[in-house]
Amino acid sequence: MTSRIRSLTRLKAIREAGLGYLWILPALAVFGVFVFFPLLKAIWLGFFETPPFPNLPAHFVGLSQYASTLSSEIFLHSLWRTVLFVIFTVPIGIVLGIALATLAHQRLAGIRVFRTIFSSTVATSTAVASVIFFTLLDPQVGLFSYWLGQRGGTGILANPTLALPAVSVVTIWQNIGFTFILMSAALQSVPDDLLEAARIDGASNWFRFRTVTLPLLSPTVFFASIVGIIGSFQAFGQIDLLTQGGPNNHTLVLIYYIYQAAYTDSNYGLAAVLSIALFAILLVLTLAQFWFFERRVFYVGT
Amino acid sequence: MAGAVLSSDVDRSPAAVSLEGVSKWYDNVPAVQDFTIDAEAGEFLVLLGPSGCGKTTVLRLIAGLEIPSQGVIRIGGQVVNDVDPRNRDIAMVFQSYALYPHMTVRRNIEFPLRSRGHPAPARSRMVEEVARSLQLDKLLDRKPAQLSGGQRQRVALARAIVRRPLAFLMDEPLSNLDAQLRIEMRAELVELHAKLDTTIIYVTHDQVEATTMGNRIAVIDQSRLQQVGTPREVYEHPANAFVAGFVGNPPMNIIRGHLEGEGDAMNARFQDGYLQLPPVLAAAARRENLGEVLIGIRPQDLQIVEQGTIHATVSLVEVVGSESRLVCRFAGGQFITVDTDRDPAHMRNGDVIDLAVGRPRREQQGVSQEELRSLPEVPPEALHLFDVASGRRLDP
Repeated sequence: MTSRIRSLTRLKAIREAGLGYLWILPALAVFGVFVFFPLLKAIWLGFFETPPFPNLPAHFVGLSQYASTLSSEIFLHSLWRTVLFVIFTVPIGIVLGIALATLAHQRLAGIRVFRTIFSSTVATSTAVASVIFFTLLDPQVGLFSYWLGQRGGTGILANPTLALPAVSVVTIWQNIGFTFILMSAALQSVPDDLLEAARIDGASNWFRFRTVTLPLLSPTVFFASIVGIIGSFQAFGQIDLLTQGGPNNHTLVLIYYIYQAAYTDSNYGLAAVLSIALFAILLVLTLAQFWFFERRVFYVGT
Repeated sequence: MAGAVLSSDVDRSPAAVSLEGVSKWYDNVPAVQDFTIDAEAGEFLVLLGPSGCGKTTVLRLIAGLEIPSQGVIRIGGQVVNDVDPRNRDIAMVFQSYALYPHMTVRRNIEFPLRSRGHPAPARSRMVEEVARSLQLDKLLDRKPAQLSGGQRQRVALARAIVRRPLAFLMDEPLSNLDAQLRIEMRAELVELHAKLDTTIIYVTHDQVEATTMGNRIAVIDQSRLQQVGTPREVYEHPANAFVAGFVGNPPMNIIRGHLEGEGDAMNARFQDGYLQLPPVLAAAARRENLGEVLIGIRPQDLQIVEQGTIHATVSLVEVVGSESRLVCRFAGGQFITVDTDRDPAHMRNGDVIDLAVGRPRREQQGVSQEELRSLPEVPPEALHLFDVASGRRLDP
């Protein structure tokens, strides 16, 4: 009797589970075709060495292409340039975002104008931002070149020392609107009475910012850093438009290296290996950040 | 000597807080108008009023969180209009407690000391001392989220007490607690006030809190100060109809009546009966040449009688311990509350009863119940008359 009931219950559970899978089938199909299949295909492509001339058959080399690519000097160089690019763009972007948001949080007449200005870069495309800065950095007519004493010659973007910082500045500028909006929203959510309590408790503005505001912004800072790091790892447009990876590979970040391998050199095997490497790096970074997120970040109201 | 900077080592005497002609407008909306009041040093002054009356704004003006549009604010005799909140040396307990959620209880209590640059060893000694006195010593390493409402309240108090401010400002600090805890904390705050010998300015909308805790009550309505006095003064001699209706539980019945009659014999007539005014009140009304008055009668000053001049229909019988409360309705629809020690068992919803004004004189020997219930005259102290237009009290 009881066993019969149990088997009936089990049958019902199976039927419900089956129905559940049926419902997620469309989403699964889309993911399968556009995400999982390309991923597996890319891993598979990495096992084949692309021949030096087109129309020759690619031959299977197994893991050796992964090993040789990931230990190659150009890959390590590119990875290092990418890490530098992230270091240049993310922390400065977040600090500037917080600074602008704090300024715009003051209750002053006409502050809305500044809020609009500060957030306006959100509405600017990478291409437009790049063209603006390309002009500003132009060795003949660029205002920045003039200010920085780099008039004439080949220009800042062709300078091995200044090219990556210059591309970073464009990236920071382009992302600042988004970071500003994020930080403004976070500042709005800091309860006024906490800040007032701190004022009455004798805190100076800086002490209050450091001990009350900043800790309460930490979830947002964290979110901005994840989005920023991933964004910088994937930054392509400004590099393609400004430096094309140059000069002398000084702005050859991973994503641009992949692009060159695939579309300039038609080396699909190499491009696949690099893509998988980039994927793995971002996966590890994201997981590490989530792990940190869980234990370090403070949420209001928990 | 390093020890001299420690506030606990300094014998702080409480400071008086005074407001003189203080007003605050937001754009063209007045929040506080022409406010003049003195909280004496060591006084427990309660600002009482309905929500939106401006009482919290008064507190925020004293704290320096708002700048007055007009008037002078003094703390300890010094004008503080231009002094930053952090230099006013006052402490504030917020309705929300405003505990720093990312800090432990210890860090929270320590915050005012840390922000003023007290050295660490002295800080921890002071924190522990205060924590012990408020029974928080076992909770010092918890975060606010791990505390109950009552414990959070204590942490907020500890944070205020720890640096011995010139005065305490409290903004409805008990309103987020459950009823039982609120009663306990009321007693604790009064004890704390006595122990610390300090000035407390306390904002509440709860008139029971106000009358039980305050040395004096300042009743506020519509951004203006209505009356300042001891709880007894405010209860027994409300300055106007608003104060009369706001202070006292249940609220005073206020009935509008036409005056009629000649000489000392004057009646106030309303739809469901009339009241004979005591001669002193009749004279006052005549002096003011009034045709209509607002008559205030506390529920405990109404008695159920066999034959009375006021008629009402019972709509609700509440038994409150040994006493009972009748909520009745006049034919016009107005509610009137009667507190009585008579057994309400035989009263039913819909019964028509007669009422008379008078106080039970249980303590008096040799007076029969019948005599009590047919009080010949209306005792003047049981009736409060107010001007219909201004709401101002008419005194004999």
